[in-house]
Amino acid sequence: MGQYSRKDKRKQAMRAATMAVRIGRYSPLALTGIAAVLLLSSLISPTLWGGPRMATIDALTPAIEFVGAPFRMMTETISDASGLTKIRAENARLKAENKQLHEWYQTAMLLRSENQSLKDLLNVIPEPDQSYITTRVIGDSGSSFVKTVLIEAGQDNAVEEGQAVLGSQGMIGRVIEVGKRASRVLLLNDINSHVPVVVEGANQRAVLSGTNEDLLVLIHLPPDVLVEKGSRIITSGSGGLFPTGLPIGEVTEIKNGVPMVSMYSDPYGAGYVQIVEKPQDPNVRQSIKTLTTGSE
Amino acid sequence: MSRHSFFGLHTLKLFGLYILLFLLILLNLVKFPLLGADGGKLSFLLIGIYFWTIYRPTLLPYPMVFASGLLLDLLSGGLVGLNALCFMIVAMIVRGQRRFLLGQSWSVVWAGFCVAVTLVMGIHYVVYSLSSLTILPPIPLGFNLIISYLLYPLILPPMILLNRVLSD
Repeated sequence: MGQYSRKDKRKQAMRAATMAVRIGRYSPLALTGIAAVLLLSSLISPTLWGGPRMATIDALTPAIEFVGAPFRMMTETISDASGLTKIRAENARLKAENKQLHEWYQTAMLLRSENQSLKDLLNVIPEPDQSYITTRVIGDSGSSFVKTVLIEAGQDNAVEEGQAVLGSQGMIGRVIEVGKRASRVLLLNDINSHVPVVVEGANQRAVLSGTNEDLLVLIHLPPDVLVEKGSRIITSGSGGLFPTGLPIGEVTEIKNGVPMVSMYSDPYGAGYVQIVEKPQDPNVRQSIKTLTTGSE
Repeated sequence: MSRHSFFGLHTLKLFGLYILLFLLILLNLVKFPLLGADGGKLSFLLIGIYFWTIYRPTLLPYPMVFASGLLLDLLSGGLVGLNALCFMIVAMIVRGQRRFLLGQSWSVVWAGFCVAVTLVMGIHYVVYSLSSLTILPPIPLGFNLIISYLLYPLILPPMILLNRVLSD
């Protein structure tokens, strides 16, 4: 009995060794097949791998940050050096701009009080309050076919999927994947990005779509609507995902009758970004105010 | 030198190779001052895989190539499996041509890398065009390719150095 079992064990070991040799011989093809299956699954359901992706990024965020630190310093140094040479001209321009802004400030204050009194007369429900999370950009996708950036804020910082992300001058993208310590932002110029917008001036709703290039394209515009160069593009707030009125860019070119939009903020130039938190409901805000002040 | 310390030193050298590969993966995600996002960064890891497949194939087995491609896929936010697939194809082709490439001059090996990176980026271009049902603009692809070709001689010195250390 014991002899049989020893023989069986030897046979099993031989079989295992043969299997290992076969796997070793065919592993490149097997691994290529596995990669193809993974790719197919990712093509069919792009969100399928969201969890493992963010878990990997969460685990490696400190390493990405550490490796990127010298390059961030280099970027800042280059920016400072180029800034120094332009500082005199910049100073003159800012002085002139400041003078103009003082005039605009007075006008804005007048309009604000007028607007408030009209709202009070009409009993308009107040707009929800906005709050922001400011965070650093720690990396990008590293591919010219995927326009995303990694930011150093996640669930721990109250970042949620779908929140709008602003650069220094306007919106640059939206949060698409959230980890504990980091999140991924889909930039507006990615071909998969589609944002409901309003064309100021024409007061026309449209969809702003990415092209994987610098200029974005306005689609779903009625054919009779004339959009002029220089028209400002802002978020429409349709669907409730983004707040209304976030500036995005302006129409700089009409290509074959299709308006092309240039973004106010360079999506790759931003070292820091602001995430627009989901607006708080006005009624909740009123209740909190009542509780904290103790008055009706 | 004792047998034990010899193995310790060898393990340390191997560790150096894998750390270098990991660093190349992370460099792929780092924002560079002048390159922007289209700066041919995909080629960092590809240079490593191409070089070690030619000069140290036993240290870079296929499962390691697959794992590095998959890790890059997960980190880059692109289609999962695409880099793993491309790197496996490149590794298989390069291993098939290894004897030829080993006897060639540095410039021929560089030309071989240019073919490899063109193949990988070509696959990326086709797959991403299919996934978005659009013909993607080819200009960023061309820019990416040129940067990738030029990056090879810049990334090569640390790898040649490590290869020499491994030979000692």
